[in-house]
Amino acid sequence: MSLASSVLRRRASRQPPLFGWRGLVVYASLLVLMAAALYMIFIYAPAERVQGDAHRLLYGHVAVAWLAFLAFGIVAFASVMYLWRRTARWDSLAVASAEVGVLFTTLTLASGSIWGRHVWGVWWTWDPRLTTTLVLWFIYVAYLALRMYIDNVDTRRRVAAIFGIVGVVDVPIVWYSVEWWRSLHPVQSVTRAGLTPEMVLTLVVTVVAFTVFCFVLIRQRYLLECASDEGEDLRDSVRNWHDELRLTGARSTPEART
Amino acid sequence: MQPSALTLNRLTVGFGRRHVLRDVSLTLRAGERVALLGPNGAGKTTLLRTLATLQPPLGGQATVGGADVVQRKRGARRHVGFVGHTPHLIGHLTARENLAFLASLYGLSNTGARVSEALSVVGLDEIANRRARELSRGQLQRLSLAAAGLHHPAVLLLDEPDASLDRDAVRELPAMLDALCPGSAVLLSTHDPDVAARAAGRSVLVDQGRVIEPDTPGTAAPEPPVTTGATNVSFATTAWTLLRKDALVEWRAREQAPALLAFTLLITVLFDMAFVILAQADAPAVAAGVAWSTLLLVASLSGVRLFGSERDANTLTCLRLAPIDQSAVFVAKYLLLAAHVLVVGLVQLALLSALLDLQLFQGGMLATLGLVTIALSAVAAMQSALALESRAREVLMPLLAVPLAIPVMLAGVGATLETLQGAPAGGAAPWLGLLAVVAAVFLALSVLLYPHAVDG
Repeated sequence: MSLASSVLRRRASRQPPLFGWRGLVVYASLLVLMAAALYMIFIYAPAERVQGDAHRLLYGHVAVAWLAFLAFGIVAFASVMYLWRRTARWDSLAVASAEVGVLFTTLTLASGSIWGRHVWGVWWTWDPRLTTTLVLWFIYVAYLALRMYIDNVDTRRRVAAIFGIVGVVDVPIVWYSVEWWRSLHPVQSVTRAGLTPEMVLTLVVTVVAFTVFCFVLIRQRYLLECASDEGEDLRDSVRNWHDELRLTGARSTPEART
Repeated sequence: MQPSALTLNRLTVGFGRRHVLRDVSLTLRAGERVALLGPNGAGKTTLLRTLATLQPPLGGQATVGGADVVQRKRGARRHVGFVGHTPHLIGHLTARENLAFLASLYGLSNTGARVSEALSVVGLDEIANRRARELSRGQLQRLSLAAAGLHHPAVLLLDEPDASLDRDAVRELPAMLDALCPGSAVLLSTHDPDVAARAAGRSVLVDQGRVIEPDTPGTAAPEPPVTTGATNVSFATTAWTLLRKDALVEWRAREQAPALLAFTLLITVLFDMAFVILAQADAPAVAAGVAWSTLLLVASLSGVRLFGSERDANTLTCLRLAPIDQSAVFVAKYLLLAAHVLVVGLVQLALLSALLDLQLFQGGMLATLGLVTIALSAVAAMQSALALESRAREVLMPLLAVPLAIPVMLAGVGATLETLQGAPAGGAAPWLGLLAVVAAVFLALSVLLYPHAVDG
């Protein structure tokens, strides 16, 4: 009895994730930052001389690209911590970051491709940055697939942690291999146009806004994963408690009769 | 007072947080035999698997031969013999070879005599040279008993040993245990009270997650503790033993090599048709692209079966039970895969030389092949171990291995083009260097992380 009630008390005492006044502050600042970023991208920042308005795509593109790399870094860190500590929460953080990372990598590839079509005239080119990002996308889609296909929860966490670490280790290797490849077969690269102070400010605000957005997403997904784990634990605890109760009943009945 | 052979102190076992058996306390002295009685689903198998170090407990403590099953897993494995529901024997090895293989893994002395004696005790001496896959279920069970008792463990854990034995064998079971490992404590699970009465001195009833009948110490006179025959075996010896076993099994089963060679032939001809005949690409570029992308496909296909066949035959359990460094299992598998990839690579160079009229058997190409083999096999072997417990490993395997192996393919193509287009000496060196780095990184990571992948 005490076990189940203590678990239930623990759940009830916790605030729902990112609601209440703290959540309000976070969501309000996110809204303001995003609105500011959008305003600056589309109205405040001047059009670029060569690229024209297509240039505006790059602010968001740079932000999501850097955050995708950051998210995969978090996956690797959380994976190492999981293998070391074996605490389910590190695994929850890894899966949350991996999902957000894949989302942001998809956005990076899509925005980059649209920009490339307007400025370079092609949807795709084998630039090291593009190629590495694409390989990274494949690696973390495989990471999510691997998790999906393993039923045993402990095995899933262990194996995913190993793959999460190996995936990140592979990134610099992919980068260098494509970089060397390019030195043999030069391809078109980004024109380094000078940025005006307005453009720099817009970029900074956009990166800050997307960073907050990224952390909110990871946090929400992390809490969801933790809640799902706790749900499983709670179900197991209640079943254990039920077994316990049934056993006590079974034991006490013959004694009562005698 | 002499230490107990097996001690369970408020041990809780189960899955996730779900308890299957709670707060089990039990002590077995040397030579004592205890039967675990209980209905299906009572938790007998889970308890035995936990004591055999195959599954971590959820709480409490258990020691086998003085070694904690969690803290000193490898130490505990020296003192445990386990017979599970399904036999963990290698089908393509004979009964004698199975035992000799285990004797090498456990570092036993006087192997030949020990194996012969064990075979005669379980009544298999006449069919000792028959392969395990040709034995009946009952004969396999006898062989499993011999395998579990071969190293004279302090504790023998038997999960329903009577399940597939005939009536005579069940009657002989106590005598078999006496002769096989005298002095070992035996904990066996069964549904049958008659078997329990015949084979064990006392019984413990488990039901609804608890030990119903409390443990009362046996009255039998204590026997001297058993000294296990298992000794420390070096990493290299273990890896060599495992590689020899894998190579012998592959030779007898011919599971991989013929299919892989046929696949290589098919893919090479297909690519050649597509690129040279239809697209009219130039020969060196085709050779460079086809050679390494085919090898990448071959390595990831071959990787599916690498650990998968052991998993399907339940023989990985036998390796997990052995007191060995589990990374040695990876090293042996890696070497086997590398041998396959190398042979396929050589065949492919010969094919491409003939089809494209190129001289591919030259120093630069062979060095590239060697390094690509080492690096690709490292990536594929590791992903094979990771995909082991997944549901759709045939589909998943290429999905995991191919993106990670892209640098290997790029470097292979780069080195080949440098070599074939007659670049100045040393032009291929950076690519070969990159291959060496990839190989070193993946090998180091795999050897380090493999035990986490398979052994908790």
